[in-house]
Parts: sequence; C-alpha cells; structure tokens
Amino acid sequence: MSAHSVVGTDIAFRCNWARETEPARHPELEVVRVACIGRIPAGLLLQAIEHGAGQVLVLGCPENECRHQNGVRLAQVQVRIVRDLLHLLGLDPDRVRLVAGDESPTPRPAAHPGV
Amino acid sequence: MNMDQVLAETLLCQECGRCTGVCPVARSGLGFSPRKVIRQAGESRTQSPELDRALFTCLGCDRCAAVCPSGLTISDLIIRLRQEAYQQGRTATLAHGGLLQSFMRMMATTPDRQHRLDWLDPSLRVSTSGDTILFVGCAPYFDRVFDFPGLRPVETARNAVRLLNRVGIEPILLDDERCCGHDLLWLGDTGNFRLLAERNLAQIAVTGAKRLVFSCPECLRTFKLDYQSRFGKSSLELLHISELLARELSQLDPGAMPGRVTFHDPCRLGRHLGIYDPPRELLRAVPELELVEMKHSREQATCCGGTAWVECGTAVKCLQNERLAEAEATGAERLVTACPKCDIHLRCALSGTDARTGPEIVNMINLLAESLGLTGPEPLPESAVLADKGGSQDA
Amino acid sequence: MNRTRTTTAGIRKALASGRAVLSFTGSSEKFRIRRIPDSPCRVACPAGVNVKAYVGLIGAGDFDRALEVVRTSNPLPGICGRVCTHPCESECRRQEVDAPVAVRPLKRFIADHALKSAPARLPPETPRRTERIAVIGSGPAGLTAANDLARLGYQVTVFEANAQPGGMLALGIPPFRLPRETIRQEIDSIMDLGVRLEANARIDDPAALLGRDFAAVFYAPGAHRSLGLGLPLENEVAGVVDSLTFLRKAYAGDQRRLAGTMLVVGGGNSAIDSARTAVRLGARKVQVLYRRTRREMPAAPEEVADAEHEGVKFTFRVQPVGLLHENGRLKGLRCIRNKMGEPDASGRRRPVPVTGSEFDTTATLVISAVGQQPETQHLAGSALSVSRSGTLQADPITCETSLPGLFAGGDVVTGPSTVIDAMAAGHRAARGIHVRLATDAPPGPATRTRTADELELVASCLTAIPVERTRTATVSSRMRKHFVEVELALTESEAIAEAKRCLRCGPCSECVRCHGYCSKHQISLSVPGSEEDIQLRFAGLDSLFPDSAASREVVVCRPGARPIAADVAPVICRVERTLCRDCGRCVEACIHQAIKPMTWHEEMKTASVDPLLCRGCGHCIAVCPSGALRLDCAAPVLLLPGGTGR
Repeated sequence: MSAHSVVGTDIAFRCNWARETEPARHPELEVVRVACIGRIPAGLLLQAIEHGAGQVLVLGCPENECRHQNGVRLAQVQVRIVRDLLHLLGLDPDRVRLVAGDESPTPRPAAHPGV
Repeated sequence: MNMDQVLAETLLCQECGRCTGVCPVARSGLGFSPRKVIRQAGESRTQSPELDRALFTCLGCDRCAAVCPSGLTISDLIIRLRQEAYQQGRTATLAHGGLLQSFMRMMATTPDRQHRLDWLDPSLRVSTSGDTILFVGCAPYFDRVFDFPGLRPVETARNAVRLLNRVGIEPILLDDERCCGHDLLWLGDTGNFRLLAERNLAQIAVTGAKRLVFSCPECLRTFKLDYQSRFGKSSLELLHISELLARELSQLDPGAMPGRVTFHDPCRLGRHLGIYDPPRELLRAVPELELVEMKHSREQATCCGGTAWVECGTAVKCLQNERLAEAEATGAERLVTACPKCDIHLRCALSGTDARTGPEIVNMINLLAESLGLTGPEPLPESAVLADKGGSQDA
Repeated sequence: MNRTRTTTAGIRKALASGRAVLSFTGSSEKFRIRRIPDSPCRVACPAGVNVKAYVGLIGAGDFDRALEVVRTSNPLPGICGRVCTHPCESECRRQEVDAPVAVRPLKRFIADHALKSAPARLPPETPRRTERIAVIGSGPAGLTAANDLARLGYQVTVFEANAQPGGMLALGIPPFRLPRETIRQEIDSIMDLGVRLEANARIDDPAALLGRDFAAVFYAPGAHRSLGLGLPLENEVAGVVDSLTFLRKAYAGDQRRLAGTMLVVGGGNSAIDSARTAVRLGARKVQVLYRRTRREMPAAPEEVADAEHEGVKFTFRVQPVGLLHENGRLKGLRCIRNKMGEPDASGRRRPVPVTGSEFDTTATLVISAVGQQPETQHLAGSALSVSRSGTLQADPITCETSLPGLFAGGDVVTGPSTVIDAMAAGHRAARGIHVRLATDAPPGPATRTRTADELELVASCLTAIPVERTRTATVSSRMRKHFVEVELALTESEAIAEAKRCLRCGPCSECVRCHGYCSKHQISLSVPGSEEDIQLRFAGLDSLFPDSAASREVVVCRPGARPIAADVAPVICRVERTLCRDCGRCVEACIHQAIKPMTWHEEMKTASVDPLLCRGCGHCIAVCPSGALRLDCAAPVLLLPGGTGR
C-alpha cells in the first residue's frame, strides 16, 4: 500500500468471512482482504491514517463466530490503541473503527480532510 | 556533517577493533561489528540489505566512542549513514509494526493540537508562566502502547511534577509539546526531526522560561546536542530532573526504604552527556537504601537495548539478558533507571516467557516520589482516562 | 549438488530449528510458481524424461498427455517400461516414506495406452531438411537418435547388421522380459516418422558413408563380442557357449531342448537371462556361478529374485579354473572358491582364490556370461582412437569422434551399459549432429543437474501417509516355463493409485495443464522449456487463500466448464530468526499451536512456525513486537486438476 494511493480514500480491512454489508453499502471503500482481522497491527491502521486515508474500517465477524477464536478480541485491542493515539494526536478517534458482526454503523461522509 | 566529511572521518579509523571489543551488540555473537560497518560503509560504499541491517542494529550507546583511539564518534557516522539510507528509501525492520515512528511523524505534521495533558489531576501544580518548563516527552503515548506490569508512563510524569512541586517549582507544561525527535533522527528521518524541533522551539520561545527540565535523557541529549548543533545555542538551561533535584537535596527529606538497589546508567545520560553522579546522590539520600554498582557502570555501563524501535531482535535480547544478569548478580531487589526508555526496554526483556523474572525495574522518579510519600491516589484505570473522549470503543 | 539423503525426521528437525525453511515465492502483486530446480527423479534420468509430469498426469487420468510427455524424451517407452534399470526410482523421495513410486511399471502402463492410440506422425510444422543422416545400429542408441533426427526433419537411414532390428534389445533380452512384439511395435512407431531401415546391412567402415550420401553418421553398433572365460581349450570343447550366442539361438528357436545340468558363469543380467532361458528350455538343474557375493552382483535384484523363483540356484564366491572334458565334450567344470579381499578399482571387493579349495562339478553345458566388448578391431588403424577394451572415444556432450561428422555413442563408447544410458547418448548425438548441421539450432535446454532443494521436498515427505507400493502381478509359475512375458501390466485403477503416491517433489513440472484452466486469475507460461517462472497474477497475497479448515482447496473455474478443485498451498507465517526476541507472545497467541520456541543461539530461543499447522491467520504477526513474523507463501503453488492429489 503506497502512500500515494490512499489519500482521501476510505479503507476497509476485512477478513474472508466478514459480512458483506459495509463494503456493499460503500462501494468506494478500498477493501483489503486478510485471513483474519486479528493480524492487523495498530501500526498498520495508524499508517493508513498517516498516509491520508479518510477512514479505516476493520470488518470482522461477531466475536463468538471468529474462525480463529480470538481474532476479533485481538483486533479490538489494536483498534483501541490506535483510537487512543488518534485522540492524543488531536484527531478524531472515530476515523478508525472496528465493525464486528451485524451492526451497521452510521454511514460516514466519504470525503475527509487528509492529514 | 555531509557525506564527504563522513567518508573523511571513516578514513581515520585505525582498524584496531576496540570498538567491536566493547560493543554490546557485537558481544551477542551474531556478527555485528562497528569496525566492519564503518569500513564497509566508508570504503567500499556498497549497499546491501545485510549492511543496512547492520547499520540499523547499532544502539548508539557510544561505548565504542569512549574507547576509540581516533576519537571517532561512531554513532554520529552511523546516524549520517542512516540519513542517506533513509533518503534512498532503505531502512530496516521497524518494531511494533512501525506504530511508534508513525505517531512521531504525525506529531511532526498534524496541524491539530494534541490532547496530551489529560493525565494531569488537580493535585498537581503546574503553571502557564514561570522560569521552568518540564518537558514531558512521549509518556502519554507510550502509556497507550505498552502495558508491561508496573509500567505506567503517565504516573512517572505525574511524579515528576510532584517532585518539582516538592522543591517549590510549579513547572510549565507545554500543551502541544511534540516529540523531541530523537527516535526519528536516529532512524535517519531528518526531515521530520527538523519539523518537530522547530515546533518545539517555537513553543518554548514564547514561554520566556529560563530552564528546561527533562525526565527523559534522550530528550535532553537531543536538545542539548542535536538541536543546539542545528539551531544554535539554547538560551535556556537544559537539565535532567536528577540534576535539578540533586541541587535541592536539602529540600528533600526522603523516608526510609530498606533494601538494596542498583543503578543502570542510561547511555544518553551517562556516556552521551557525562551525567553519572546526580542520580546516585539522590539514591544515596534515601535512608536505609543500599546502592550497589553493577559490574559495568558509569562510563562502562552497557546499554538497555534501546534501538529507536528498529531491528530489535536476538542480538538486543542477548545483551539485555546480560545486563539483567549483572543486575541480579548484585543481589539488588530493584534495578533503578533514570530513563523512561530504559524502563520500557528492560521491562520488555523481562516480559518474555523465558525464565528470567527479576530484578524489579523502577524509574528513579517513582522511587523518589515513593520515598517522599508523594505518590498520589490510586492510579486511574486505563480506559477511564479517555473513556469520555471516545478513546475506547464499545465494540 | 548436495546429495545427502535426509530422513523425514531430519527434515522435520531442520525445519523446527530454523535451519531450513520452505521456499517462498510470494510477492504483493504476483504469485509465481518457481520452475526450477527439478525433482530428483527427473535429474536422475539419463534421458531427461520428465518423470514427475507424466506420473502426475497419470494420477490425474490424463493418459494422452502423459504419453506425450514421455515421448518427448523417450521414444521407446514400452521397452523402458519393462527393462529400464530405473535410476529415477532409486532417487525417488517417496522411499523416505515407504517405497519409491513404481515409475517403471507406470511407464509401461502408459506405453500400452499408446498402442491403442493412433500411430505416431511427424507434426505438420516439422521442417523438411535435405541432409541425410546415417545411423549404424538399431539398438536403443541408434533408434533414439533416429527418432530425434527425424523429428527435426532430417532424412534418416538406419543400417542394421542383423535381420531383425533392436540390437541388444532383441539379441540379449529374453522375450519373457521384453516381448518381440513390443520391440517391433516401438520400432515401427519410429519408422512411421519416415525413417528408412536397411536390415542385413553390416557397415564396417562408417567413415566411408560420410561425404558420399550422408552429411553425418552416428555409429552405434553396440558391444556384442562376448568375453571368454579364459580357460584352456575353451574354444575346442563342445558344450561351452557364450551367453549371446546361446540366447540368439534360443530366441530364433534353434536351441534344442536341454538336458542335464547347466552352469552359467557370471553375475550380470546376461547371466540371469541365460539361466532363466535355460530353465525354459527344459534344463533340470541350472546353476549360476558368480565369483563375488550376492551383494556385488550387477544384475537387477528383481531379476535375481525372478530367477530364484523359477528354480535357478546361485553359488557365490566360486570361479572356474578348468574344463573337464572327454573326447572333446564337456563333462564338467573345475572351480575354486574365493575369499573376498580388498576393493578393486570398481570399489567392489576383489575375489582371491583360496589355494587348495578346488572342486569339480558336472555339467552338460557351460554358458559364459562374463561381459561383452565392442567389435571394433576393424577400426584399429583408422583415424578413430580405439581403447584396449575396444571402446571408441567420443565427445561426452556432442558424441562427435575425432573424425568430423562421425558421431558415436552407446555401448561402443561406454562398454556394456544400460538401455537408458544408450538412449541418452542417442539424444546427445542427435543434438550434436543438429548443432553441427543446422544454422537454426536454438540453444539447448539447461543441463539439469540440480535437484529440488531439501527445503522443497520437506513438506511433501511430512504430509505423506504411507501407502504400500503397488506390486506388479506376474504370470503363474506354470506359465513361467514358456517364453511369455512374466510381468503383467498395471490396471488403470492401479496405475492411477500408484501415480498418486508421488510426492511431487520440487516445484512445477511444466506439464502445462494449468495453462488455460484459470480464467479468474491469469496464468501465463512465459517461455515453455526455459528457466522463466510461470506467473500467476493475483490481486493481493492475502486474498487468494481462504484458509478453509476443511481443506486447502481452491476452486478454479473456466467459463462454461465445470469447476475443478485444485490443490493450492496456503499462506503461512514465518519467523525472521534474527529479529526474534524470544518473548513468547506469538507462542501464546497461536491458537493452532503452530509456534514453538526452539533453541538456536547461546541458549536463546527463537520462535519457529510449523508450516503444517500454521493456518496463516496472522495473530502472531500482530502481537510480535519486533516484526520478526511475516506472512508469506508456504510453498510453490501446485495446480493439478482432479482433486487434492496427495
């Protein structure tokens, strides 16, 4: 993922089995598939914001449905770290969100001021 | 220095190998050699992933500089070579997935004001004017990233304020203080380092303060050596908190803390800045606290293994194990350090599943605060600090 | 080339300690199947047959394509499928698990399939060259060279001294091992390419053919002069015959029924063939005398076993020292016992006669099978260099002799050797001739000398479940009294099952079946037969492999066709060893218990990922503080249609 490619875009990291709702709702999302969202480290999420992504979504399955048992819980920890850091930096923590399960969070505007 | 100067410097190398002899990374036996790095980088100018890895394995502890007969400050050369590498897009493996470098860079470039003083509580007396600034450093950020048992960087920051309060100082805290840039500079990212420095210096200038006190030796070293060499001599006095407190010993009346401790000299405080005694004076002022020295201390102290979050691997763990073994050999229950980085790195070395369990690591600031009865109310639970700011998400 | 044989336990140990890792090929954009190095079987075959490809194709049920692959390098598959010494099987890594794949019977199976298909034809795009090439000798070397040269477009004439073609195949190997019908059919399929055969045409002066009508000559007459026993009056006493003469008469039907005791002196395939032939001719007692021990016998062990099954007796560590005769007829043999001494130049222990241990034994016929030499006396004094044992000297790569345009290969150059070695020489000679004559000869394929890394063989050995090697059936004991073929062919289901035992060592075998099968993701074969990688283009490394718990299959679809399940290697995690801090977080994080700490440096431990247990979920990567864990492709992708394959 090069820095140039993500300015202004919204990125979703999703696992292979996550529900399709969010990406279907927002076709402009740049989707990166992984085997399990438990492998997304906080550094990756923060760098996505650093390189100009508007929003970063981490899409997974409901916690008790994770095929790799604790993938969602691990992702929760990493997302929490990034949200805390975003707050410290003076940025909106909601720019990084974890969506695990059926919730359909309020759609966010696609355009976002880059960093 | 520019590359020509670097190359000229490398020619001064006598190839005596004393640097490699004292290098703690070389001792791990995995093939790192400062002499080799200097020679390869300087003479042959070949670039290779192996050379890059070696280049980024140096801890910058300067044990080599202390013994080099040519007077080479090898770490300076290495920084310069890393700068060249960085410009060419070459770097080595970043620790923690590049998280730390990322937020440090963002601190350099975000226009937004940070929320970095949420850790303050009403019992801490700070001021918006005065002659002393306390430079807090990245403690609030580290607090969110690391969760080693017993490590609470913001509590250390609070205790630093409490100690200053005890000697009658109500420090200024910059509410948009940026990272000093030490880690990015050592990575070779001079561009962002410069941005951080400029932003910090601008904020400091408008306070009118006369004195800048640091709880972190890396920040101190960066201001004293790296900022001054680039931006000119500072009009403020630059001190480590232990230096300031040691001067005010008469105002401190520490309570008894029976036990044995040993002191780990941070590289940036000791060899880089020549500050060895103030922390020891403070520790000796605590009644019934026995201070014993490790086998290698003061100018010979070995490094805690801090690598500016780059190429942290087996070699570093080896030397950390050695250092902790030295501490255990003194019989001390606690290993005291005067640097928040050493605090983190040594705890990290103890946090593995390999057998080593001690000694207990404690930051000198926290130990002093404890001996003075200054520790505050129970530390707030982690997520409560930021809960209503939307930090934690109910997912 | 590292030829150390590694046991499965050793491989697992090497993986675990981090000294070996699986080969990684992934990149963020493209996914590449690494094409080289080769599987051990292919490297071992002197003729360069793509063993792994045709075995795999048999396993997939694609017999037509398997035959094509075989025919590319081996124009005599039915013959080799019966008599080849199978160096491929000796190197087959399946033996680390249980027993080597039965490659030879599989080759015979596929050759039998050929008999049911259309006769061989030259492809229409074959250029028509004007040069005429003479091939002297219609043994395996000559036939192979003729086949290759015909396929290159040359006009080839084969000169055969005997009435029947085939060389040692027909003269030396008995019909119960190699039916005459098979020889005839395979030679016919070469002749169908437009090769002319002139029988009863002995050529003593090969050089004379040059310049006159032929642009090049390949001299491959074989080695047909039997060595004698070196006994006094050997040639005068009736009842002593060399094995080649004996066999020739037997095959021609000239040999009378035998009575009494036959003694065969020798230990090679010739001796065994003679002994088994003698049994079929009615000899009541057939005994093979060999001067060394069973271990040193050059004959194939399966032949020896067959002979013993048929009642042949073996006596070891004896050699003849004199004939017992009366009135010019053989009565018996005087022998001496040997003890085994120091190894000689061949590495085998030298037999040393024990003085005073002579004994006599009766016999009505003594067959000497102690070796052959090329008949090259007529060439002594010519420009060609002839060795003391009669062999000719030729360039080992091009087969050209010291006389430009005259090429030589096979037993006449090497001395008696195997069928497959002679065929390899035929290939080299054809290529040597083509390079000499044509301006458009492309650079040759890379010499295959490297086998797949131990690394790439690892995963295969570890996942294999032991399955007994398919035994080839043989005719009943009653039928073994006749000259019918003893070994029976594998059935179709047996062949497919046996082919599936193949571990598919190393990467892609270039069977090129994948080409055209994948529409969703492009597969392009860069330069067939070259060192280029076959490239698969994918969106991203992670996205291809759903680590389905059920299997590691990916469904590959072609528009309009039914989906084919393909066996695809997964993406797994691996440890960059020098970055590991032995913190143990990955070990704890791994829910599949695929990560173990291994001691590696001064009691330091490093994490090590078990590639078979890792599911590529990446949790370890997220918790690793130093970035030591990465995600990468576990092994080169093996795309073979027809199910899971293993």
